[in-house]
Amino acid sequence: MAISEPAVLTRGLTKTFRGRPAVHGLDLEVPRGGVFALLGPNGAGKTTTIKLLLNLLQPSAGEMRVLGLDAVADSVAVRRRVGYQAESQHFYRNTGVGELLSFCRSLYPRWNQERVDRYCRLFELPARARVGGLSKGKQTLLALVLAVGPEPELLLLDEPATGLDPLRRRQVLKLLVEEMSKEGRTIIFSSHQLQDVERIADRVAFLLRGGLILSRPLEQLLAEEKKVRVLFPGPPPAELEKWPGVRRVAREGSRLLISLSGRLDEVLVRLQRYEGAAFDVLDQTLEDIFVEYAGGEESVWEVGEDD
Amino acid sequence: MINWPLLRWEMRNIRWWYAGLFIFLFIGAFSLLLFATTGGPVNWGKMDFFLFGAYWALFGGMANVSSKLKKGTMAFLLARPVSRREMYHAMALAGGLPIIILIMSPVLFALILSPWLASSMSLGQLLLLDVLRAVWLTALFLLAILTSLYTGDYRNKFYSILTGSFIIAVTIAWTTTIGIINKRALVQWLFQHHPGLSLLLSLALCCLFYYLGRRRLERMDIQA
Repeated sequence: MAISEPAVLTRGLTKTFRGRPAVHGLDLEVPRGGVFALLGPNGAGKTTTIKLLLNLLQPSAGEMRVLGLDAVADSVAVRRRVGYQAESQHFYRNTGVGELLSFCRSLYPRWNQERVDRYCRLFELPARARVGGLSKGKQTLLALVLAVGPEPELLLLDEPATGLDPLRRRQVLKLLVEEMSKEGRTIIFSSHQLQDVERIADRVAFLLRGGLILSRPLEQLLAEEKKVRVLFPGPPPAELEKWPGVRRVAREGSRLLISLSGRLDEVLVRLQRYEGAAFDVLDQTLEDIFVEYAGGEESVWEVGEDD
Repeated sequence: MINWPLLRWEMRNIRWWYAGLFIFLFIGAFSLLLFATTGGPVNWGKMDFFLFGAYWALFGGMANVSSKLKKGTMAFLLARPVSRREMYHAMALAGGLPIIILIMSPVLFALILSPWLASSMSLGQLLLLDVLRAVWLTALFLLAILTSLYTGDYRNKFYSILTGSFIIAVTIAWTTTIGIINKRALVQWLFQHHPGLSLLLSLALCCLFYYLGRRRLERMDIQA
């Protein structure tokens, strides 16, 4: 296996449920190392994608490679090297924490007991506690301990902060970044907590209706995705939406709000050509970008329609 | 082929079910000894409690698979380095072995108690009868797993009732056809007609249900 092979590579990955696509033609590439965030509204296909990578779901079409292996044909070998935390926990409820950890340990070729013990102490997970008696947050933490125990090269975390209070959430994120990521492991996680994503992700991908709409380093995304608020003295340029870099134009009172994806300088130069046009550039948070891409701002202004 | 830690885990998780089966075993043996005509030969082939226990085991096995799918523990296990084939084997062995042990136990009793108690059947006859019963019950158990794999992931009681009704119908049809309840007819059928054919047929059904069940598990989506 070439070390340069990405941690995850999918080509045309498709999953349909009773004819309805949950993931459609997904081409995803996750480089090795670092923290990769999968974002998207509910039903975008994030959980389905993660389950496909683990071969819990069978792909309807397309190819997937995980850590250089075929994720379907070599799924057991893949899962030996992957840690997984599900969105909702489905444990054996009548089992003790220690018993469950011990059973999972017996399934993997490697297991970092020192780390597991340390995390259990840190998260206050006593070995004798019954799994079914743990709170939702504690079950999430137990799932995280089970995911990191086998020293995975790739961690797949589906909403890793579900049910956690802000303090625990920060603690978990810190551990993920300070220990897992710095050891060169790849972390792929899906989350609706965009502040968390901004805090730890190196790269983000947006999924919408089962397809990938962008995948970029976070810094680059925040640098490229800008908005320009502009007030034209007269009618706006007819071809404004077709300018390079312009993704959408929305009306905000008497002004226009232009969403840009890169090419800010080029757009500003063009705007300066319009005498009397007043404009200012607005930075966007990841949440703003997420809402934009998720289609939260439906009222796309058709240039020339109102005026 | 067999993942031993997984098999141990499976057996551990249905330990109460085993306890129930072995209670049947002891009640069956004890009642037969208690009610056996004093001085007369014991008919080890007439152990109704064992058959009762076996039916119970069949439904227990089916419930084990369904609950795994419904509660999401199947997804929990298959997210670990466990192949679906190993998963199937663990479920089949953990649930199926006790059924076979239960059904074969009259032979064991006859063997152990032969110095003290006379048996109305020879050991060879009893062994053949029990092997045949065990293989038929294994076929039914594998059918129960297969149907559970098709219906267990639907969180709909309708499918569970339908499956239950289907298994009951198959069981009734089977028992009335080859006479598991009417053991005299079975013994006649076994020894005077086609025991070899019966064994072959039940083995063929075992193979078919094993293949279909394993294939179903290998191809199905595991939803939590």
